[in-house]
Amino acid sequence: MFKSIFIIILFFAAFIRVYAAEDRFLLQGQVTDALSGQTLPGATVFNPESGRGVTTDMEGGFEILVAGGEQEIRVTYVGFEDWAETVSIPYSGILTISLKPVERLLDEVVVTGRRPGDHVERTEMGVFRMEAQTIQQIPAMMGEVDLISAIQMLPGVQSVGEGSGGFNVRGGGIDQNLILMDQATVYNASHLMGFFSVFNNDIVEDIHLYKGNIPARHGGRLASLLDVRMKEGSMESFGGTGGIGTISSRLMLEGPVVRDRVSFIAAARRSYADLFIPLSDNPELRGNKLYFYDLNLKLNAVLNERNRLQYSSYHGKDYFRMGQNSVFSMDWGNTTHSLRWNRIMHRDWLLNTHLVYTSYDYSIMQKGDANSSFRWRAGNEDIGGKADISWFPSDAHNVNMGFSTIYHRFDPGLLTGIDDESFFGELGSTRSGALSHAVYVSNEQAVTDALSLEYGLRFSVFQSMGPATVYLYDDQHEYVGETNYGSREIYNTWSGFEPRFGIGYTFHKDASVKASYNRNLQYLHLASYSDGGNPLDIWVPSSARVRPQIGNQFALGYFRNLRPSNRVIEASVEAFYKTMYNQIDFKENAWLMLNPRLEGEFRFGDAWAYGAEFLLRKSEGDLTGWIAYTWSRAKRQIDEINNGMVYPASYDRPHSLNLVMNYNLSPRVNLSAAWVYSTGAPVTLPAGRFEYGNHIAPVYTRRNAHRLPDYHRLDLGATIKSRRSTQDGFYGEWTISVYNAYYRKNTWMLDFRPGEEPGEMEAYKVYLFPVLPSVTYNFYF
Amino acid sequence: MNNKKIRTFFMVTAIVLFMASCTERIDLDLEGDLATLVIDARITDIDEGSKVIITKTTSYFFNQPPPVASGARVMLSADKGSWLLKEESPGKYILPPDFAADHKSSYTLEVDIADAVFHAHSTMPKPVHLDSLSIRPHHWLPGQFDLLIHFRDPPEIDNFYMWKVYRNDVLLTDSLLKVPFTDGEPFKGRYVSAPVYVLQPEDGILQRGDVYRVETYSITEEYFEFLLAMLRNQGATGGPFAGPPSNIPSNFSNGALGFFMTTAVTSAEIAVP
Repeated sequence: MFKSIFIIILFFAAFIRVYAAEDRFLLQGQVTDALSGQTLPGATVFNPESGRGVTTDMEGGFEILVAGGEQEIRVTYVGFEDWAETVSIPYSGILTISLKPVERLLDEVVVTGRRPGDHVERTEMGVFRMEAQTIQQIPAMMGEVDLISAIQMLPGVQSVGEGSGGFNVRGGGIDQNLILMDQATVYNASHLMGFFSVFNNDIVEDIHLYKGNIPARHGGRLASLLDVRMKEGSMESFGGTGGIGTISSRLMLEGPVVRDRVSFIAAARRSYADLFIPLSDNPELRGNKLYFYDLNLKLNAVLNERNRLQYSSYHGKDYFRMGQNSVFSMDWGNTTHSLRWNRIMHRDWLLNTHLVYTSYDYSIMQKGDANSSFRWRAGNEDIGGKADISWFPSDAHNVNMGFSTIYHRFDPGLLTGIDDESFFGELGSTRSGALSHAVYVSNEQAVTDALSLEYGLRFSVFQSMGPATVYLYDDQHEYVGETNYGSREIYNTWSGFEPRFGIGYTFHKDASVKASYNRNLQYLHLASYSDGGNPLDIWVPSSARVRPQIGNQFALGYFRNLRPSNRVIEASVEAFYKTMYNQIDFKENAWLMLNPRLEGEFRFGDAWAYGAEFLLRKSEGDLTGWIAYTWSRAKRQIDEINNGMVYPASYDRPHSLNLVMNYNLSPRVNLSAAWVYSTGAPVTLPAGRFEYGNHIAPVYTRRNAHRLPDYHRLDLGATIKSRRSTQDGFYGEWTISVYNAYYRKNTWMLDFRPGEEPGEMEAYKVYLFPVLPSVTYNFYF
Repeated sequence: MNNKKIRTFFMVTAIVLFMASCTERIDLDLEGDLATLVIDARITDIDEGSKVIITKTTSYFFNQPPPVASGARVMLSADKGSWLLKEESPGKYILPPDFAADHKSSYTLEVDIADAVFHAHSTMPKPVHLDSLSIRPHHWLPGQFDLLIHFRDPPEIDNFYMWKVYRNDVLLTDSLLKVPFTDGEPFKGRYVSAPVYVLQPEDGILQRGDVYRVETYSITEEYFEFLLAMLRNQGATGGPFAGPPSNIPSNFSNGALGFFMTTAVTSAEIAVP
């Protein structure tokens, strides 16, 4: 162990350059929006004398090494006026720079948190950043702007199926994506079985999707990290936005609580299709309910120049009820809380501390009929903390280290009779717990002007904690006995190193090559019958039987900026190869709900995926958007499945092409279009049939040997702003969208039904949506 | 194994109800050349309830009665003796008249055909008697009625049940989708008063004098799992909620499909007043 640590220290020390401190000083500062007080990530800070420039971090902070004396500092940020001033170096304290937005109407169109073309010089690969504005411009199904639908348009990302909130990244399963909302894990990001996501775009600031090269400070999933950052409320003035849509209505309010010190932002959204149910002619429907809602709140306090405190929370639920006297109901949802303390420590050190709580749960209830009344509850919960320290030895060098500890509680599902008369006893399994810990250190550094390195090491530990009953199985997966463990007893521990490495070489300002290697361990697994996930899925911890999933990813990329007529078009090609071990599938006819011996249904094997992603992205000018083409394969091998032969994963879709276009016709009118194409999903079809009684039963021979027809769809959108500008304090806009504009009947699934004659079977394709127009009215004040 | 708890029928309903979907009949080319033996063998404790039907698998859209397997030697044996079944019609084999079922007896069925031998075992469960039946209007489906069964689940054994419902001796549960079956574990040893079947308008309007009869089949756990697999693996495939389909388990050796089931049957009835 000590030997390993020693080697690691050497590894890092080798790259840390020693600076001659006599004539250069570190200038620290923060860039904010003069109007709202929000910090501005991605702004460029430049010192002309040294020719050095840096980009502000996620909190708008920067560090730049400059010579002593009077030094000019320039700051530029798209959508804001340029800032330039002379600063006396050394400068004591933190330089706060407030940028004035350019004309409001213009900034509505061009605000972007990233500088076009910066993908070339960053070491990171497989990362896609998108602002709420971009997400909003993609035509949305039923007008519900949705970030999960937006990321499904990116190269290397695939939708599980039409209307599904699940997504697959580079040949990974839906449970291999870590979704964070202000640093709290979101375990089920779907509403209404997946048609909409839990993210209300009114309060989303931006998203980062890491398809590989997940930073060392994050871990726990093999395929991707979707980091969703919520907006901070304005420190300067009250405002808000809202909308009335086909499916839901929304309202967001923000403003200062104490001017320039404390701000709030709150948002709510509720779907209301069921409010019309009582008007239905069909009396059977009148007692029914089906809706979802989301509530977000974020408080932001600047305690002083060096300390900031932030609280962010989310609560959302789906609710479904049938019947009036005897009632069957179901609800599910997430709750998250995160508290962040941000401290700028001595000179060039930044401390970020989080306390995080998250839960996902569902309950199903039948009541009104005493003896068959029951309640079924399941879910999981995390409570934990993380601390992260950033050290900026120079403007081109960032060392990051920290740790995290999380207590997990798992409630795999328990069904109980509601009253004494109920004929239901108690079914399912009781709660269990686990602890997960991680320590990490990483280093991002420009070694020369052309060569940059990013490397890190994460060490993670996962401990199963009692009380628990652990079921034991033999090599044939047969149950052989059980062991009980007492409260707080640690009865199984897994751990492992997760190295991350990236290298970038810039040929000139517009071309670079990058390579990376990434290893991740995953200790939580989703027990789901379906590929798309559903509300009743449960998360299962690693145990003596269920080993942690291990993923290795190698990637190579070429990044290029094309500059036709002074505009930047980002072009990139990335190729990846992934190996995944201890992958989970389920035995035939597995029973995953209310099953205390759930682990006995698991089967284990390997998976691998490879592919190439091509992207052209234009984010400046009147016409913006991207074209993404992905070629990829995803395969699995599990001894007990498909007779041990390799089979395509259910998300193996070799070709995928996405076009997203957005055009500003005039300052008031914006047009958008999105076209998606992908190879049809693999499907297992019967090779034969047999008759039993008067029932026809299928016989399957090979898993995923057939494919559904190819999928393609065109969506169109238009946004028309009112003539009154923001100076009046209020303006509105109409968004019209058409989903599936040319009425492609994409096969959602195949259904086999008995025909009219005895013994006759017929095949039907099921498709979900016709041409689906919708209108949404949004307002801003 | 006591983990097959309750049918998730309501969950599936919830999903299906809110998928405003459209369907279109299509032609699929699913040619296959499997010709596996399929044995549908049922031994009951009621007259004329026992039979063995042997057929073969066909391609999925064969859409005709399956080819039968004639000329098999079919033998049933237990501790108390063995019985050679007679081929009554091609592919259909029946027990000799001297056969009398014995509850809790372990039976072995041996099928010998074209130089291949297939075995299966099953222990006949004990019969469970219903106390009574009752009928009441459905809670939220107007014009429909619940048919309720009332009985105590015997606490000393793990019970699995299947029911068949008749109206004036016409079978209402005439397809697998309509056949109620359950694991007794959730209500082990408790008194059960529960709807077993929803009488729908297509089952005939409830009229005075109508006689509804419910047969209770005590089944084995293996057969319960077989039924569950039959129910889960029919119909839809593909789509984000589907998950991979599975083959239906068989308790025969040597790769034969189908099932050898033994069951004890009791009956209760109610006349509409």
